[in-house]
Amino acid sequence: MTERDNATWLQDLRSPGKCRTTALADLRKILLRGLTGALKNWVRQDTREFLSLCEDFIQEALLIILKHLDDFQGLSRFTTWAHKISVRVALSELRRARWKDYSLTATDEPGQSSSVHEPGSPDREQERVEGQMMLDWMKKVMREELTTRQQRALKAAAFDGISADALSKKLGTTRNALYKLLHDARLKLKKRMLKEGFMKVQEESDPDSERKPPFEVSNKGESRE
Amino acid sequence: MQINVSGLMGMISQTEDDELDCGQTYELLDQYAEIMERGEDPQILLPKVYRHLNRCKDCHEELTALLAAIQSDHEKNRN
Repeated sequence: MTERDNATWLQDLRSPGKCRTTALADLRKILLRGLTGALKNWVRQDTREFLSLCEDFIQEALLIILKHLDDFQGLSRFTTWAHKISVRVALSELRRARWKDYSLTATDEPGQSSSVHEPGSPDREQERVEGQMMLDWMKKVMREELTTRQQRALKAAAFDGISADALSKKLGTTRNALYKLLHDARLKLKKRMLKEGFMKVQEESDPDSERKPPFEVSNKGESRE
Repeated sequence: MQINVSGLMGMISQTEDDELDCGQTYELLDQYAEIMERGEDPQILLPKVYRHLNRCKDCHEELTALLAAIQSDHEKNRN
């Protein structure tokens, strides 16, 4: 395979004929090498369908890459930029497949998460009760402060763990618009938390402090099936 | 699924008026991954992206998958 720097990738992919065909074939191989590693915790790899699935994702990614060559600013390696697109295509599709049967509900409607569960921790009753109180308070202020659409989105994203990709599709919006919807909801809830003394003012002004994300970071063991 | 209410309240308390959205983060994700690959500190070099990734599960998953893709590409290229 020909080693290329960023300028050569762009030049080869824009040129007509054999040069472009060879560059596309090389890029396809690179993306396949990457995607098989990227999806190891997402899709079972010991099936016949895995390679075919990866090739479908890469085909779609290549179309996007070719269409957006002018958007590449050269601030990373071209192949990293291309991997990014391939990963986005694959994960978007896998998330939508995973969440296709999920139904949106508001906080006062029956849902998958009406109480705090702590399996395997019977000695932590006090913690469980406090957690339930926090959950009840959160549901109450969500009903009082947020629109129905914000309630549904926040419940789905924060309590049920639905991906933003899948949720934005179910709400008929874009991922950016969903982020704004949830950002506005968080600002309203933050204001209420401040008002009710749930947080101190100094916590508000420390955005760089280390904190654990409120979601499970690992997706180990999950598969498309 | 276990509810992480305290995590949610923590995230709400850390909400900033001006945050990057998923699209802005996506634009910088390849640079962010290479900063990590070089062993540099993205919290210092791209702090707004760092904070978005702490809030957004989808973008965090995409970063993790992108890093795995880069590593897998390098390893298979060597073999």
